[in-house]
Amino acid sequence: IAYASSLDCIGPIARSVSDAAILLEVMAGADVRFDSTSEEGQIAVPSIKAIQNQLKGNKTPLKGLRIGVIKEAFQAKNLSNEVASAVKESTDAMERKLGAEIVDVSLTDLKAKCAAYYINALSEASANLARYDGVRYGKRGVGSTSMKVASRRIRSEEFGDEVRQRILVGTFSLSAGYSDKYYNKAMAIRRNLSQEFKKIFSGVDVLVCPSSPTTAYKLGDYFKKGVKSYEDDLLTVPASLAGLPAISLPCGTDQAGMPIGLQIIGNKWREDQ
Amino acid sequence: IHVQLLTNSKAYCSCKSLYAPNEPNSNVCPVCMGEPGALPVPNRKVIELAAKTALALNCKISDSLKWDRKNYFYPDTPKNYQITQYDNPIGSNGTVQLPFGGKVGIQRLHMEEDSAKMNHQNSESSSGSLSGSLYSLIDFNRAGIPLAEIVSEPDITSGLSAAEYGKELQRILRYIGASDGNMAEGSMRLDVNVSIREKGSNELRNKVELKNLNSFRAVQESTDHEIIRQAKLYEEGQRVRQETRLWDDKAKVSKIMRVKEGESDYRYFPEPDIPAMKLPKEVVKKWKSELSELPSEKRSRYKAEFGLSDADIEILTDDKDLSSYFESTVEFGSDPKEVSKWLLGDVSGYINSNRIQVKDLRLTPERLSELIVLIKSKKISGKIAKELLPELLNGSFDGTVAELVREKGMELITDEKVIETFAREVIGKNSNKVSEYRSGKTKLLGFFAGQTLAVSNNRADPE
Repeated sequence: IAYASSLDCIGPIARSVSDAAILLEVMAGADVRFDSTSEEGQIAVPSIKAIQNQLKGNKTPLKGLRIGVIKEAFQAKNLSNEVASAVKESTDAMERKLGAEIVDVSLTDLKAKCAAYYINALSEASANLARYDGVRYGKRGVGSTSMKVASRRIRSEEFGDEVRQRILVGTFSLSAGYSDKYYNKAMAIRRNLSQEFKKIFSGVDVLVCPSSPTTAYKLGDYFKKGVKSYEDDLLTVPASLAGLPAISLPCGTDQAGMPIGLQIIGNKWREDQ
Repeated sequence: IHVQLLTNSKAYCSCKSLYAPNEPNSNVCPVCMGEPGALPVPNRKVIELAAKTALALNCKISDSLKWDRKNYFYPDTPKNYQITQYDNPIGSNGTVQLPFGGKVGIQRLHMEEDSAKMNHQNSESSSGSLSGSLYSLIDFNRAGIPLAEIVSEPDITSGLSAAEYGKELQRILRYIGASDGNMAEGSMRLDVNVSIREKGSNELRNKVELKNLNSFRAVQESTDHEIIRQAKLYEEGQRVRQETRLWDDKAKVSKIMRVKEGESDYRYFPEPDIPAMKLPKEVVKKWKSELSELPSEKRSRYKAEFGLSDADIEILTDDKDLSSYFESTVEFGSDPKEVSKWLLGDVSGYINSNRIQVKDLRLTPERLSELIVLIKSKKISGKIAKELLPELLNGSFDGTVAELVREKGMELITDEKVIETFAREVIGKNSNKVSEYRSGKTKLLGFFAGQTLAVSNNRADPE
């Protein structure tokens, strides 16, 4: 089921980095049959074996690699202390133990980028989910005498609350009189973000920051927070908007034993790094 | 004007793009049915035909291709949005030369997909309309068929011009092979937007959209009817509402379909499933060079090179196959005016009464040319040619025209001595008429000539 076409991509969850790397090797490359290749031209598929051989037995495997730490991530209001210190420890280790060069980089206005992501995604989703109208497939139910009746019933009863909320917000963002303020503004922010990343990556090879400002929510907390929970995506959203490769790894646990996520973001097509 | 482009497959999937009203839902797939997870893939041929049409309409061609989503809910729209082009149409700013003078500006030409075909059933008014119907059947064969939408500038000022514009567009589309422009089958649909204003005023008033125009005659009549309807309203001090009206071709009136206060909100946004792509100038140049001669160019050329009458030119150039046949025949060396006369006369008569197409003619351009040249060189007469024509047309004779003439012994007799013997025979048999002629009835000369000709089995040279 398509959600937000310009942002949807395959996101494997694996037990180890090498497993994820194996999946990447399988997925990467041109797709001739279904023509779902995202870019024309020859782009090399990273060879995991080659990378592993390079790193074998190397005491300072990250030597020569410039890692940018996104400083605004550590200034986020919703960032928990435990997450901050776990990630800081990891970056320190990368520098002292593994030989990387750590620099501070600036990725401005994370909140606005997060809002742009949501407006963009929800707008596209409102259109992608429009096809579920009970006309060609789906349970029509008794008394569905017209498309209006059938789709009203299906869309109110079969779509969950969160989905309906997103469709409504997305439709609103695109509507006449509001599209400039919301959809078009979100797209402008998205375009500028690509340029911003270009500049950042001229000085570093990869970026690092926490994956999420907190550890996992307790069951039911997400709905209690309502739309505010969208803000907790502010660290993962930039890579999505710019189409950059990113990976999230555990880098420790909090007092309650919940895992803390470390995010590494690469430049376009640089999954190898 | 919406035209279906002549591609093998649909606009965004590989389903066959066919008119098959008797096998509903036989050319469908998850993409054109709007099933979950289906993704559109743009069809190269659609872009080529749309660009070629735009070029034939003298449009400026965009250097990039961008699609947009037009969002609205309706049963004939499987995704509940249409993939179309909004702010970057492939063609813009063109013109069409009308055959009898006058120009119509083309505002834009863009690519989009057709909707499914709905048949409303069991309505009291058996017109198959939505109102009063109990249920609707939907055929998705049509959903996803590629369309070009062509919007003209408000340059047309009468029903006649509107019909002419439609006809010329149909001619152009058929010439370049972009569409078969068949109104009865729905591969060409015209909607007319009409507004009127006072002489000398520049401001455009509310326009009314006319739909359900199934022939050029309906285009003409509905437009003229609407002009009068609006004039009457203004004269009575009323205002013209912006609305859509359906033309009733039997009653020759239009009925209101829906009121359009302001524009609908389609929430246009760029189609995220189809990334924008560049349209290289070299590709467009190549397509332009592949365009055949256009109707307006042919009309001018026929006038300048062959000196034919406007009426003849109009018919000869209306159908590309006929004009090709004409040109081939002339190329074999016969006089264009004669070719035109025979083609538009006896040959057309044969084509029409036998309900065939030009391309089905067994008489080849080479043979027709030979026939005409034989008349010119006085090997046969026009009358003899007319006698030979049926056999040449139905292809029952295999050889050249000269061979046919010889076989039937139909050579023209020009020897005066021989003709004189025929004449004497006639005079001998009609002594009473001879006396009448001698006493003043000089018109009888025609009678004698006719009789002489008859005696010779039409083989004597009338001159």
